[in-house]
Amino acid sequence: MTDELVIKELHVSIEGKKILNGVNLTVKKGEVCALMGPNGSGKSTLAYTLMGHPRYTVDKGEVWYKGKNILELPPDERAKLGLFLSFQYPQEIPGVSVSNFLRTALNSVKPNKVSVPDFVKLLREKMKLLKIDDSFSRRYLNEGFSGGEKKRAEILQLAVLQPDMAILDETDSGLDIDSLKVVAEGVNTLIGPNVGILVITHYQRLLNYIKPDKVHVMMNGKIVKSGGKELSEELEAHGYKEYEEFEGEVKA
Amino acid sequence: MEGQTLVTKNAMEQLSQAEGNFAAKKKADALAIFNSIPMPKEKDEDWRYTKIDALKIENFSLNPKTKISASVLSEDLIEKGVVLTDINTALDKYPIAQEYFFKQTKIDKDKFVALSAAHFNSGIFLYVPKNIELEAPIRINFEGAGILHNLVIVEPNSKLDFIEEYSGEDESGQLNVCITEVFANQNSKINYNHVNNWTKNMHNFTNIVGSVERDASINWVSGCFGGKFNRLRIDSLFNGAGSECSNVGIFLGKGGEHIDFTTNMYHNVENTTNEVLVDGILKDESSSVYRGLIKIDKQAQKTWSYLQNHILKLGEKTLANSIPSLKIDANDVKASHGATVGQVNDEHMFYLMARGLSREEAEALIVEGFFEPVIQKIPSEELREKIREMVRK
Ligand SMILES: Nc1ncnc2c1ncn2[C@@H]1O[C@H](COP(=O)(O)OP(=O)(O)OP(=O)(O)O)[C@@H](O)[C@H]1O
Ligand SMILES: [Mg+2]
Repeated sequence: MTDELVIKELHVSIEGKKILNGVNLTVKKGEVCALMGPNGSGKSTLAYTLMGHPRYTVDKGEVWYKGKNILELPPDERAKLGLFLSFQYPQEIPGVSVSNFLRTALNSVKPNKVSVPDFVKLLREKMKLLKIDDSFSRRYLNEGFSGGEKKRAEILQLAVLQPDMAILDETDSGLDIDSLKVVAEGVNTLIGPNVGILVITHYQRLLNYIKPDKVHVMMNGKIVKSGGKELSEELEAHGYKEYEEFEGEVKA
Repeated sequence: MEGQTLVTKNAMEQLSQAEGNFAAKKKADALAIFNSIPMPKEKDEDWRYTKIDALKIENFSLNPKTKISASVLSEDLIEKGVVLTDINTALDKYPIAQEYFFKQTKIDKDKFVALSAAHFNSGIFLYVPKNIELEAPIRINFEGAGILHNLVIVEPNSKLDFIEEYSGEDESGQLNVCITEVFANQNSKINYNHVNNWTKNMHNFTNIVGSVERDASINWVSGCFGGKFNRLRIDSLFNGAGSECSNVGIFLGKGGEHIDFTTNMYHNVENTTNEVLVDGILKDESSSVYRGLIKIDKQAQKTWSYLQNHILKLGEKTLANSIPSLKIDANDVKASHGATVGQVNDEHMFYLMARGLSREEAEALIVEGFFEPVIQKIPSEELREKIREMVRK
């Protein structure tokens, strides 16, 4: 049970402004959970907080993973535990090549050092799987990448680093339909009995490829409804209107 | 490194005994100038942001013993007239050395230039006759503090790759003062690479002056690492139409080090081209000042001259000063300068750490990445690797 990511009563603020208002959520090992919700509802805030971004202040709550309250750990320790975040807006790092960066990262998260030839082989294999051109490994990390290329590069990192628990923050936005398929395939090859995935998305489209076991709806920094895959279809058809009312009822 | 020792301790002593009249006379003249000009002050324009006021020349040895080792010239090159020897021998033996000695460098404008002119006891002389393209680079290693004069002359249509490295300190003093004069004559091409890697007590004052004649070019590459007080100044004099320079500079300050870096580009004639890129990183409590002048004379029409300087501060206690300046008296020129001083982007740090890199690993990668574009501009692969290694240390 310790391989579950368990979020308990999480309250988070940025510069004194409350964003998350008591989030409770569990992602089990081998489970795909989708997190949906309108713009500004706090989905990325949750993702950043789980990864340990210093800008977010945890006012209350706990997040347990592999027997640790990870809120006490710096981001790199969380990554070493097996947590991974595919960023909604990946950073451009000048002068640092994709391959140099990924090799450093892989050696940081894995207990055994990977030799350069083994790494090159691994990288090539994953790039092929994601239909990424070889030349990308020599380019500077995300610098000048198109929106879609950045998302693909995030999934390349996911594929190389092989985390146990992955949070995908709008990995589908900016991807054309063909890229979406390729990226989803990349994610699917990762899904096994050991990997938990939290997919943040606005669209049903991605969930047709990466089939969620559970769907959660976030409004104003809280999970307001949870259900199965049918919930995402409902949302696509009707939007979030009724949940606004629903949330009003809860408050009352 | 394969090489021969040019000047051993003993040999140098013998040389200074046998020193000819020419050098002795020049030194005596220079000594009078040295004594007549005052020590610079921090408030002087050329010394702003450098704590020179506390430095006392009398605390240092003015007769340090540098150890110089150098590439061995092939028989073939020697036959063709290429000369590589020490400066004292050269001034004794070769009229051309006397002719070019202090041809372009003004003694009376800088206390440390005057000091070197009055007290130099070592240095190298390199002469490449016309129509010779040296295939392998000439390498010189200087070990320990010195008071040096180097003279490099490349005659028309010739090509030289030159790599000089300075390192260490010795017991006789931690003051290194050096003048290097470089002459790129008509249609010649020089790749001039300077790397210094001083240990923590060194005070270094190095002035390099390059004169570029018609259609000639000098590509300067310099790396400054270490030293308590590391001042490097490179002047490029565009004296012939069609001449070109590029000037790539890299520095890395750590601990309490101070780096004082100047590039001056003097466009004296028409149709000359220049590009300067100086990038530096400051760690711990280190500080730096970079001065970059582009001066375009009235007759220097059709000049194309650009200068960029970027500094990355890695600590709250670091101090960076950047003073680029343009003085343009011609009207048909293209010139610009720019300087940025920045800090590590927190979002970059978080992104890298979220992938498992420790704070130190993330910072190291950002440092390497910051230098990578400027390292890419270094023509020699060997030097690119060397500088990458020094940055990693
Ligand atoms: N640095 C910040 N300073 C102030 N407010 C912020 C900051 N970052 C985020 N917010 C606010 O926090 C709220 C939640 O933002 P968040 O990015 O988590 O939303 P989201 O659900 O991911 O939205 P989207 O679907 O548009 O990606 C928003 O109202 C946003 O404006
Ligand atoms: Mg978001």
